[in-house]
Parts: sequence; structure tokens; C-alpha cells
Amino acid sequence: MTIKLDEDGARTMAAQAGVALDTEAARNAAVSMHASLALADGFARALAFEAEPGAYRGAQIRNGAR
Amino acid sequence: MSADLALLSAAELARRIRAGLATSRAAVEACLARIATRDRELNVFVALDADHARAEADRADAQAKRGRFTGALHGVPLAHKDMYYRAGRVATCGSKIRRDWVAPATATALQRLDAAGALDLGTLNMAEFAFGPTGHNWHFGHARNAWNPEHITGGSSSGSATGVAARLFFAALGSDTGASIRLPAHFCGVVGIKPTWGRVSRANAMPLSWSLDTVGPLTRTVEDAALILGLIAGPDPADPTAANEPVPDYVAQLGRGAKGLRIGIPKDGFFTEVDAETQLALHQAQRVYASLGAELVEIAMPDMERLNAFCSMVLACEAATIHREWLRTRAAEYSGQVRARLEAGLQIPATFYLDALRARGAMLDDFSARVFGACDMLMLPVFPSAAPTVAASEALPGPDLGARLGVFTRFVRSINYLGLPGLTVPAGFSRASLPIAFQLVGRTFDETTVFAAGHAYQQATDWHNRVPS
Repeated sequence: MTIKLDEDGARTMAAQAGVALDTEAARNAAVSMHASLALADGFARALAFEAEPGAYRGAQIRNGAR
Repeated sequence: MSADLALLSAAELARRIRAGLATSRAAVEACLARIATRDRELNVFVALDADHARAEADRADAQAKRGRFTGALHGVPLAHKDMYYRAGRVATCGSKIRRDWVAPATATALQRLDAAGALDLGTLNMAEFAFGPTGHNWHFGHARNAWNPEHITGGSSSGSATGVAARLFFAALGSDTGASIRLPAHFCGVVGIKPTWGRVSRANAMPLSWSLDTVGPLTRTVEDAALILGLIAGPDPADPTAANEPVPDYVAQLGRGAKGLRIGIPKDGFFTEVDAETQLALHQAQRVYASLGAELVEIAMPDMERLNAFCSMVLACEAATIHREWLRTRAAEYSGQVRARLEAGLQIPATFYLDALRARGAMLDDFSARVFGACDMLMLPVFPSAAPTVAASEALPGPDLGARLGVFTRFVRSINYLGLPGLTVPAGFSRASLPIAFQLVGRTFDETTVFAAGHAYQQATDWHNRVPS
């Protein structure tokens, strides 16, 4: 896991979206998201170069949709 | 007669009205009598419109006398989660921000229920912006479990679940983005169907996460769920994500039974946190299915925690995007829990969100091959136990918020990410007389098979007929 989320990072990320986080909210937001990011990161990095979000519809069709 | 009417299923009431054995007005009065007795304690309704319901019931009865019936739910009183817009009516979405917001248009799902002749008693309590799994609401008060008001309803379709359980109305729409139909159905002892993503139009329903949101009913029986989903499903020009898939006649196929079905059971050790009572209820349900001729197949499950993580990422990003302007301008009007969870969604790099979406197709392929290559549906727990108490499950903002709430959605969230249908079926009670259920997870767009299996179970058991006192 290479992403580091800390209070300052959380505030910066939120500020880019135009949202101001106070210190406690920033800390909590960072902690809350950290676990999910770490859990998903390994698989995400192994995704096929060609994979794209629209592939989900194809998977639906392969697995039962018409 | 009126009190007994309130205990019928929606399908049975509709049959009686059509046969001239019951009136819609009597059904409405039966519901209103129960609402008068229990709503103050359970906090189900945000807004009840009794006069309108009575007038509509009288109109339905007058039509019935002339032999005219609007549709399959002619004169049947329903009520819905307060996130389905009806033109000219306030839709609070369980929030302070929208406390007085008047909807400009009517949800497609409501239009289709109207066209089927259903009545609408009013709007139901829910988690703020459908973003909470417990049934707590700090603006309108917490909804309370009909089996024991000290315990949670689950969320986010809290009023829908506990109101159906208490027989205040015959069925209700909920929504399910990460648990919100199946979990409260488990806690309240009712049936809930989360359909395949894309099965039901979301037009003019409040969005939480467009890649995950689904619309479905909470009901007393599987037959009612099949009936109502059949009425609301299908393509809709107002929602481009509503799939152009044929909608089967679910009710006509309920009689297929469970014989020959292969029901997948996760190998021992997969659900290590499920308590003994829940394990027992699931094992007993498996025995019922075996006695009905189903084959129980052990399944080596994919990594559900990773699926849950992807789902959390998609949900958090999309919810934060939808709420970004209000987070900028009206942040103080959110409850602390919902605000903290929305703010967490601002922390995810766009590349991670897009990877979660890129992975979705591959994950569905992998899951389908591993699971549905060996069985027709999965039987899973919904939650590790019966409903916890309201006090014990109140998760306030803090470093452990995500973990505390994640417990509630651990067995259900992955199914939203995959977009599969999931049906909650009541299957017993704890020693404290609180409901326990299982969920059946089916193939993409194959609600028909899970309905048939759920109905077969209910024909062999009577858990769904128990009514809280």
C-alpha cells in the first residue's frame, strides 16, 4: 500500500472538492477510508491494461442478461 | 372483520377485493386502526394522509362495484420510503436539508403502483439520505423494531420494514444500495427483494450511488414481493440504466418449487462471526430445502471482503459527489454520522474509484463462474445475529465509525457491487423473540428462481405468518 492518508492529506483532498474539513472530521475521514483503499489496491493494480468500466455490462450479458 | 383484514398478504387482500369479499375502505380502516395503536411507539410514518387514503379507497370500492378493477393491487393500501418522489408532495429523504422540499415529479415506481390500483397511505421513516444501516435517524427520530422497540429496525428502509412487520400497511417500497432492503427485512422478520441492478427504474427516486442503487419492495410474503417487483420492473425512458430485459411473470412461476435446485452453502468457517442462533436457523432452513428436494452444494467462496471494499469505494465516491454542493454550503444540517461518511468519500483518488468500476465486470465473471458454475443460488446469512439494541448500535463519528457500520453490511454489500438479486426470507426467531432470516442470492436477472425457492420455503414453514404483538 503506497497511499498515505493523514489529517493534512484528508484536508487537502477535501479542499480540492471545495469542502472544508475541521481537524477531527479530517482525521476520521482519513481513517475510515484507509482500510478500504488498502484492501482493494492489490487487486486493482493487477487489473488488465484494457479493462474499462463498461466491461460490467458485458459481464452481465455473459452471466444471464440478454 | 377489519382487524383480520390487516393481517392478510397484499395478494390475498387483492383477491378478496376482486371477489367482493372485502372492501378497500375496510382495509384502509384496519391499517389506520393499527397505525393509531403502534406508530407513536415505532415511529414509522413521516407523513400519514388518512383522508386521502379513505377517499381513494372509496373510489376503488365504487369502481369494484361496477366490476372495474385498475390492476393487480386494486384498492390495496401501501406506503413507501420517503425518497420516492410524488409530484407536489414533500419528500424529506429522511433529512433536515430536504425537510420541506416538494417533489416536482412522480417516481416511475410509484406511477407503476398507481397504475396497478395500489393506494398510498403516506411517507415512511428512513435513514438520512438512505445512508445508514441501522435505522437511526437524528432528524425524525429512530424507527423502532416492531418485535421489540428497544431494538433497531435496520436501515436504511427502516419504516418500510418495521411498518410491514407491524401490519400497518400491506407492503412498502424500500431501496438497497448496500444493505437497505435485505438488512431491515432480516431484523424485522419480513421479506425483501433487492433486484438485479437495472431491473427497476430509479427515475425520480432519491439517488445515493447510481452504480449501486436498486428499488424493491418489503413485503409479508415472497408471493407479494414477486407480485410487486413484476409490476414495477422493466425499461423506462426516464432512466437509461433501467435494463431492456424482459420481465417474467414471477407469480406464475412461483410454483416451480425447490425440487432439483442446487443451493450453494459457503464452506464451514466462512462466516465465523455468525452466532449460534443464526447458525441454527440457517441449518434448519437448509434441512427444509433438503426435504423439498433441493440439493445442498458446498461452495468455496470468493474473497467477499475485497468485494465489500470495492463496493464501499464506489458508494463513498458517488455519494460524496451527489452531496458535494451541500457539503460545501449546508454541512451543519447533516447528522454527524452521515456527514462524516460523506466526507470520507472525498478522500478517494479518482483512479481508485475508476479501478473499482473497471474491476466490476471481471469480479462478476469470476463470482459467476465460481459460484453459479456449481449452484443455482447461494444461501447466506444477512447479519451475524438478530437485531441489536438501538443504544448499542448507535455509531457516532469517530475513528471507528467505518468499522462499526461495516459490521452491519458485511454479508450483503458485496451483492450490490456485483449487481445480483438478493431475497431475504424470514427463517426463525432468537431466544429473545427477534426475527432471523437468510438471503438467497441468484444469477444476474434471475429473480424468478430465487422467488420460486423463497416461496417453496414459505409453503413449508410459517415464520412469515408470525405477527408481533
